[in-house]
Amino acid sequence: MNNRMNLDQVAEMALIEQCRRQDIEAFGKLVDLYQARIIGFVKRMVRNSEEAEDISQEVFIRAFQNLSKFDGRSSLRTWLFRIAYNLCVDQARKKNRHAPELGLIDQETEEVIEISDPKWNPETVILDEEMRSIVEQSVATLSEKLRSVLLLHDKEELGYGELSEMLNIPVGTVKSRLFLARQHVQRDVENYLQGGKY
Amino acid sequence: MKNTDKNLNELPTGITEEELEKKLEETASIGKLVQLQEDDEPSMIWRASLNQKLIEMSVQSAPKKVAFFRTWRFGMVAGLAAGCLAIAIVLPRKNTIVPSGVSVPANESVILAAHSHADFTLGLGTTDGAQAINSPTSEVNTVEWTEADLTIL
Repeated sequence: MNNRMNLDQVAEMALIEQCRRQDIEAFGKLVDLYQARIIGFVKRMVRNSEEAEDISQEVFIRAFQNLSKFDGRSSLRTWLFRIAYNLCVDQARKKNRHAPELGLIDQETEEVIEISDPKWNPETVILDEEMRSIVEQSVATLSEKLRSVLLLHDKEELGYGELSEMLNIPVGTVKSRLFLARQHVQRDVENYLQGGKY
Repeated sequence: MKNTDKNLNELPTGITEEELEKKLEETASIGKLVQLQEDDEPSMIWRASLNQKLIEMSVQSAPKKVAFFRTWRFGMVAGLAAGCLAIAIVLPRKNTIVPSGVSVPANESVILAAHSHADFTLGLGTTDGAQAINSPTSEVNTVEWTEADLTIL
Protein backbone atom coordinates (compact mmCIF):
# COMPACT_ATOMS: atom_id res chain seq x y z
CA MET A 1 0.00 0.00 0.00
CA ASN A 2 2.78 2.36 0.99
CA ASN A 3 4.70 1.47 -2.15
CA ARG A 4 1.60 2.14 -4.19
CA MET A 5 1.07 5.46 -2.49
CA ASN A 6 4.68 6.36 -3.10
CA LEU A 7 4.32 5.48 -6.73
CA ASP A 8 1.18 7.55 -6.91
CA GLN A 9 2.99 10.44 -5.27
CA VAL A 10 5.91 10.12 -7.66
CA ALA A 11 3.56 10.05 -10.63
CA GLU A 12 1.72 13.05 -9.23
CA MET A 13 4.94 14.99 -8.73
CA ALA A 14 5.91 14.22 -12.34
CA LEU A 15 2.53 15.55 -13.45
CA ILE A 16 3.01 18.66 -11.35
CA GLU A 17 6.38 19.27 -12.98
CA GLN A 18 4.76 19.07 -16.42
CA CYS A 19 1.97 21.42 -15.30
CA ARG A 20 4.55 23.97 -14.14
CA ARG A 21 5.63 24.20 -17.78
CA GLN A 22 2.06 25.22 -18.64
CA ASP A 23 1.29 21.78 -20.06
CA ILE A 24 -2.51 21.85 -20.30
CA GLU A 25 -2.77 18.18 -21.12
CA ALA A 26 -0.92 17.22 -17.94
CA PHE A 27 -3.02 19.63 -15.92
CA GLY A 28 -6.13 17.99 -17.40
CA LYS A 29 -5.01 14.73 -15.80
CA LEU A 30 -4.80 16.43 -12.42
CA VAL A 31 -8.26 17.89 -12.94
CA ASP A 32 -9.55 14.39 -13.74
CA LEU A 33 -8.16 13.14 -10.45
CA TYR A 34 -9.69 15.78 -8.21
CA GLN A 35 -12.62 17.40 -10.00
CA ALA A 36 -15.40 15.27 -8.47
CA ARG A 37 -14.14 15.70 -4.92
CA ILE A 38 -13.54 19.40 -5.28
CA ILE A 39 -16.97 20.02 -6.78
CA GLY A 40 -18.55 17.81 -4.13
CA PHE A 41 -16.87 19.74 -1.34
CA VAL A 42 -17.70 23.15 -2.82
CA LYS A 43 -21.33 22.20 -3.47
CA ARG A 44 -21.74 21.15 0.14
CA MET A 45 -20.13 24.36 1.31
CA VAL A 46 -21.98 26.92 -0.81
CA ARG A 47 -25.21 24.96 -1.32
CA ASN A 48 -25.83 26.43 -4.75
CA SER A 49 -24.99 24.32 -7.78
CA GLU A 50 -24.26 27.17 -10.17
CA GLU A 51 -22.05 29.01 -7.71
CA ALA A 52 -20.36 25.76 -6.79
CA GLU A 53 -19.49 25.03 -10.40
CA ASP A 54 -18.07 28.51 -10.91
CA ILE A 55 -16.04 28.30 -7.71
CA SER A 56 -14.76 24.83 -8.63
CA GLN A 57 -13.56 26.12 -11.98
CA GLU A 58 -11.87 28.99 -10.19
CA VAL A 59 -10.12 26.48 -7.91
CA PHE A 60 -8.48 24.78 -10.87
CA ILE A 61 -7.71 28.04 -12.67
CA ARG A 62 -5.94 29.38 -9.59
CA ALA A 63 -4.13 26.10 -9.16
CA PHE A 64 -2.93 26.28 -12.77
CA GLN A 65 -1.80 29.88 -12.33
CA ASN A 66 -0.04 29.27 -9.03
CA LEU A 67 1.38 25.80 -9.44
CA SER A 68 4.87 27.30 -9.58
CA LYS A 69 4.31 28.45 -5.98
CA PHE A 70 3.30 24.97 -4.81
CA ASP A 71 6.28 23.90 -2.71
CA GLY A 72 5.19 20.32 -2.02
CA ARG A 73 5.19 20.73 1.76
CA SER A 74 1.58 19.61 1.80
CA SER A 75 0.00 17.19 -0.62
CA LEU A 76 -1.54 18.55 -3.80
CA ARG A 77 -4.92 17.35 -2.51
CA THR A 78 -4.56 19.43 0.65
CA TRP A 79 -3.39 22.42 -1.40
CA LEU A 80 -6.41 22.18 -3.73
CA PHE A 81 -8.84 21.88 -0.82
CA ARG A 82 -7.21 24.90 0.80
CA ILE A 83 -7.85 26.94 -2.35
CA ALA A 84 -11.40 25.60 -2.49
CA TYR A 85 -12.02 26.38 1.18
CA ASN A 86 -10.68 29.92 0.84
CA LEU A 87 -12.87 30.58 -2.20
CA CYS A 88 -15.91 29.24 -0.35
CA VAL A 89 -15.16 31.52 2.59
CA ASP A 90 -14.79 34.50 0.23
CA GLN A 91 -18.10 33.63 -1.37
CA ALA A 92 -19.80 33.33 2.03
CA ARG A 93 -18.41 36.74 3.04
CA LYS A 94 -19.78 38.32 -0.13
CA LYS A 95 -23.16 36.80 0.56
CA ASN A 96 -23.14 37.79 4.20
CA ARG A 97 -22.93 41.42 3.16
CA HIS A 98 -26.41 41.02 1.75
CA ALA A 99 -28.01 38.42 3.97
CA PRO A 100 -27.14 36.67 7.24
CA GLU A 101 -25.91 33.11 6.92
CA LEU A 102 -28.40 30.42 7.74
CA GLY A 103 -27.29 27.50 9.81
CA LEU A 104 -26.18 26.59 13.26
CA ILE A 105 -23.81 29.48 13.71
CA ASP A 106 -23.82 29.38 17.50
CA GLN A 107 -23.54 25.65 17.75
CA GLU A 108 -20.05 25.82 19.22
CA THR A 109 -21.17 27.72 22.27
CA GLU A 110 -23.86 25.22 23.12
CA GLU A 111 -23.53 22.98 26.10
CA VAL A 112 -22.48 19.44 25.36
CA ILE A 113 -25.39 17.07 25.16
CA GLU A 114 -24.61 13.63 26.44
CA ILE A 115 -24.67 11.15 23.63
CA SER A 116 -26.59 8.06 24.53
CA ASP A 117 -25.08 4.76 23.51
CA PRO A 118 -26.08 4.28 19.93
CA LYS A 119 -28.73 1.63 19.51
CA TRP A 120 -27.74 1.33 15.94
CA ASN A 121 -24.50 0.78 14.18
CA PRO A 122 -24.11 2.95 11.06
CA GLU A 123 -21.85 0.34 9.51
CA THR A 124 -24.69 -2.14 9.47
CA VAL A 125 -27.27 0.36 8.33
CA ILE A 126 -27.89 0.17 4.63
CA LEU A 127 -26.97 3.55 3.38
CA ASP A 128 -29.86 3.95 1.05
CA GLU A 129 -30.71 7.06 -0.86
CA GLU A 130 -32.94 8.32 1.92
CA MET A 131 -30.20 7.99 4.52
CA ARG A 132 -27.77 9.73 2.22
CA SER A 133 -30.24 12.50 1.86
CA ILE A 134 -30.68 12.77 5.65
CA VAL A 135 -26.92 13.04 6.14
CA GLU A 136 -26.62 15.58 3.32
CA GLN A 137 -29.37 17.71 4.77
CA SER A 138 -27.92 17.47 8.23
CA VAL A 139 -24.49 18.53 6.99
CA ALA A 140 -26.09 21.38 5.07
CA THR A 141 -27.66 22.80 8.22
CA LEU A 142 -24.33 23.00 10.03
CA SER A 143 -22.57 26.31 10.36
CA GLU A 144 -19.79 26.98 7.87
CA LYS A 145 -17.12 26.42 10.54
CA LEU A 146 -18.43 23.03 11.62
CA ARG A 147 -19.31 21.93 8.12
CA SER A 148 -15.87 22.66 6.73
CA VAL A 149 -14.14 20.67 9.49
CA LEU A 150 -16.53 17.74 9.17
CA LEU A 151 -16.20 17.55 5.38
CA LEU A 152 -12.46 18.07 5.25
CA HIS A 153 -11.73 15.58 8.03
CA ASP A 154 -14.34 12.87 7.58
CA LYS A 155 -15.04 13.12 3.87
CA GLU A 156 -11.70 14.22 2.47
CA GLU A 157 -9.56 12.56 5.15
CA LEU A 158 -7.38 15.54 5.98
CA GLY A 159 -5.52 15.25 9.29
CA TYR A 160 -5.97 17.41 12.37
CA GLY A 161 -2.62 19.11 11.74
CA GLU A 162 -3.44 19.88 8.12
CA LEU A 163 -6.81 21.32 9.12
CA SER A 164 -5.26 23.34 11.90
CA GLU A 165 -2.86 24.91 9.42
CA MET A 166 -5.45 25.37 6.70
CA LEU A 167 -8.11 26.94 8.89
CA ASN A 168 -5.59 28.76 11.06
CA ILE A 169 -7.04 27.39 14.28
CA PRO A 170 -5.52 25.22 17.04
CA VAL A 171 -5.72 21.44 16.78
CA GLY A 172 -7.96 21.34 19.85
CA THR A 173 -10.42 23.64 18.14
CA VAL A 174 -10.42 21.38 15.09
CA LYS A 175 -11.28 18.43 17.30
CA SER A 176 -14.02 20.21 19.19
CA ARG A 177 -15.60 21.45 15.98
CA LEU A 178 -15.45 17.98 14.54
CA PHE A 179 -17.11 16.53 17.60
CA LEU A 180 -19.89 19.14 17.57
CA ALA A 181 -20.51 18.56 13.87
CA ARG A 182 -20.69 14.79 14.28
CA GLN A 183 -22.95 15.20 17.28
CA HIS A 184 -25.36 17.26 15.21
CA VAL A 185 -25.43 14.74 12.37
CA GLN A 186 -25.82 11.87 14.81
CA ARG A 187 -28.84 13.51 16.38
CA ASP A 188 -30.51 13.90 12.98
CA VAL A 189 -29.73 10.34 11.95
CA GLU A 190 -31.03 8.97 15.24
CA ASN A 191 -34.24 10.91 14.83
CA TYR A 192 -34.63 9.56 11.34
CA LEU A 193 -34.06 5.96 12.44
CA GLN A 194 -36.53 6.35 15.30
CA GLY A 195 -39.06 7.65 12.81
CA GLY A 196 -39.03 11.06 14.36
CA LYS A 197 -38.48 14.49 13.03
CA TYR A 198 -34.87 15.33 12.31
CA MET B 1 -7.03 17.57 32.68
CA LYS B 2 -9.64 20.29 32.60
CA ASN B 3 -10.17 22.69 29.76
CA THR B 4 -7.25 24.95 30.58
CA ASP B 5 -5.13 24.30 27.50
CA LYS B 6 -5.27 27.32 25.21
CA ASN B 7 -5.38 24.93 22.24
CA LEU B 8 -8.69 23.71 23.49
CA ASN B 9 -10.16 27.15 24.04
CA GLU B 10 -13.17 26.40 21.91
CA LEU B 11 -14.08 23.23 23.72
CA PRO B 12 -17.57 23.21 25.15
CA THR B 13 -17.52 23.84 28.86
CA GLY B 14 -17.01 20.99 31.25
CA ILE B 15 -15.13 18.64 28.94
CA THR B 16 -11.56 17.47 29.16
CA GLU B 17 -9.20 16.61 26.35
CA GLU B 18 -9.45 12.90 27.18
CA GLU B 19 -13.21 13.10 27.18
CA LEU B 20 -13.14 14.84 23.82
CA GLU B 21 -10.94 12.11 22.33
CA LYS B 22 -13.36 9.53 23.70
CA LYS B 23 -16.34 11.37 22.21
CA LEU B 24 -14.58 11.55 18.83
CA GLU B 25 -14.03 7.80 18.95
CA GLU B 26 -17.66 7.25 19.83
CA THR B 27 -18.82 9.35 16.92
CA ALA B 28 -16.38 7.86 14.42
CA SER B 29 -19.25 5.95 12.83
CA ILE B 30 -20.84 9.26 11.89
CA GLY B 31 -17.59 10.13 10.16
CA LYS B 32 -17.97 6.97 8.11
CA LEU B 33 -21.50 7.96 7.13
CA VAL B 34 -20.20 11.30 5.96
CA GLN B 35 -17.39 9.61 4.06
CA LEU B 36 -19.87 7.44 2.19
CA GLN B 37 -21.60 10.46 0.72
CA GLU B 38 -21.13 10.39 -3.02
CA ASP B 39 -19.58 12.99 -5.26
CA ASP B 40 -21.09 13.47 -8.67
CA GLU B 41 -18.82 13.68 -11.68
CA PRO B 42 -19.01 17.14 -13.25
CA SER B 43 -20.83 17.63 -16.51
CA MET B 44 -19.03 17.66 -19.85
CA ILE B 45 -20.14 21.27 -20.27
CA TRP B 46 -18.41 22.23 -17.05
CA ARG B 47 -15.23 20.47 -18.10
CA ALA B 48 -15.29 21.94 -21.60
CA SER B 49 -15.75 25.40 -20.14
CA LEU B 50 -12.81 24.87 -17.78
CA ASN B 51 -10.62 23.63 -20.64
CA GLN B 52 -11.54 26.69 -22.70
CA LYS B 53 -10.56 29.01 -19.86
CA LEU B 54 -7.26 27.21 -19.37
CA ILE B 55 -6.45 27.45 -23.08
CA GLU B 56 -7.28 31.17 -23.07
CA MET B 57 -4.95 31.64 -20.12
CA SER B 58 -2.15 29.84 -21.95
CA VAL B 59 -2.68 31.94 -25.07
CA GLN B 60 -2.60 35.12 -23.03
CA SER B 61 0.70 34.16 -21.46
CA ALA B 62 2.19 33.05 -24.82
CA PRO B 63 2.62 36.56 -26.45
CA LYS B 64 4.87 37.61 -23.57
CA LYS B 65 7.17 34.72 -24.36
CA VAL B 66 7.11 35.48 -28.10
CA ALA B 67 7.93 39.14 -27.46
CA PHE B 68 10.81 38.11 -25.23
CA PHE B 69 12.23 35.75 -27.85
CA ARG B 70 11.76 38.33 -30.61
CA THR B 71 13.73 40.89 -28.64
CA TRP B 72 16.37 38.33 -27.81
CA ARG B 73 16.60 37.19 -31.45
CA PHE B 74 16.82 40.75 -32.76
CA GLY B 75 19.69 41.45 -30.38
CA MET B 76 21.51 38.33 -31.49
CA VAL B 77 21.14 39.13 -35.20
CA ALA B 78 22.22 42.74 -34.68
CA GLY B 79 25.28 41.60 -32.74
CA LEU B 80 26.18 39.09 -35.42
CA ALA B 81 25.87 41.71 -38.17
CA ALA B 82 28.03 44.16 -36.22
CA GLY B 83 30.65 41.45 -35.74
CA CYS B 84 30.72 40.62 -39.46
CA LEU B 85 31.04 44.30 -40.36
CA ALA B 86 33.93 44.74 -37.94
CA ILE B 87 35.73 41.72 -39.41
CA ALA B 88 35.20 43.00 -42.96
CA ILE B 89 36.63 46.40 -42.07
CA VAL B 90 39.54 45.30 -39.95
CA LEU B 91 40.83 42.36 -42.00
CA PRO B 92 42.79 43.14 -45.28
CA ARG B 93 41.31 42.05 -48.60
CA LYS B 94 42.35 38.65 -49.89
CA ASN B 95 42.96 39.68 -53.54
CA THR B 96 45.67 42.10 -52.49
CA ILE B 97 47.83 39.27 -51.23
CA VAL B 98 50.25 37.84 -53.76
CA PRO B 99 52.14 34.72 -52.74
CA SER B 100 55.81 35.42 -52.83
CA GLY B 101 58.04 33.53 -55.28
CA VAL B 102 55.21 32.53 -57.62
CA SER B 103 54.97 34.00 -61.06
CA VAL B 104 51.34 34.83 -61.76
CA PRO B 105 51.65 34.98 -65.53
CA ALA B 106 53.32 31.59 -65.59
CA ASN B 107 50.51 30.12 -63.55
CA GLU B 108 47.89 31.70 -65.72
CA SER B 109 49.46 30.42 -68.90
CA VAL B 110 49.61 26.89 -67.52
CA ILE B 111 45.98 27.06 -66.43
CA LEU B 112 44.87 28.51 -69.78
CA ALA B 113 46.74 25.86 -71.73
CA ALA B 114 45.22 23.09 -69.65
CA HIS B 115 41.76 24.57 -70.02
CA SER B 116 42.10 25.00 -73.81
CA HIS B 117 43.30 21.47 -74.20
CA ALA B 118 40.48 20.06 -72.08
CA ASP B 119 37.85 22.15 -73.84
CA PHE B 120 39.14 21.17 -77.24
CA THR B 121 39.28 17.51 -76.31
CA LEU B 122 35.76 17.47 -74.93
CA GLY B 123 34.37 19.35 -77.91
CA LEU B 124 35.80 16.96 -80.52
CA GLY B 125 35.70 13.74 -78.61
CA THR B 126 39.35 13.10 -79.45
CA THR B 127 42.69 13.95 -78.04
CA ASP B 128 44.25 14.47 -81.50
CA GLY B 129 43.82 18.15 -82.09
CA ALA B 130 45.83 18.32 -85.37
CA GLN B 131 43.75 15.62 -87.03
CA ALA B 132 40.54 17.36 -86.18
CA ILE B 133 41.69 20.66 -87.58
CA ASN B 134 42.75 19.03 -90.84
CA SER B 135 39.49 17.14 -91.36
CA PRO B 136 37.28 18.24 -94.30
CA THR B 137 34.29 19.08 -92.11
CA SER B 138 36.32 21.62 -90.28
CA GLU B 139 36.88 23.70 -93.45
CA VAL B 140 35.31 27.13 -93.33
CA ASN B 141 33.66 28.40 -96.50
CA THR B 142 34.73 31.94 -97.04
CA VAL B 143 33.28 34.30 -99.58
CA GLU B 144 35.58 36.77 -101.19
CA TRP B 145 34.43 40.42 -101.17
CA THR B 146 33.99 41.96 -104.62
CA GLU B 147 34.24 45.57 -105.74
CA ALA B 148 30.44 45.64 -106.13
CA ASP B 149 29.94 44.64 -102.49
CA LEU B 150 32.20 47.39 -101.36
CA THR B 151 30.37 50.02 -103.41
CA ILE B 152 27.03 48.95 -101.95
CA LEU B 153 28.43 49.45 -98.49
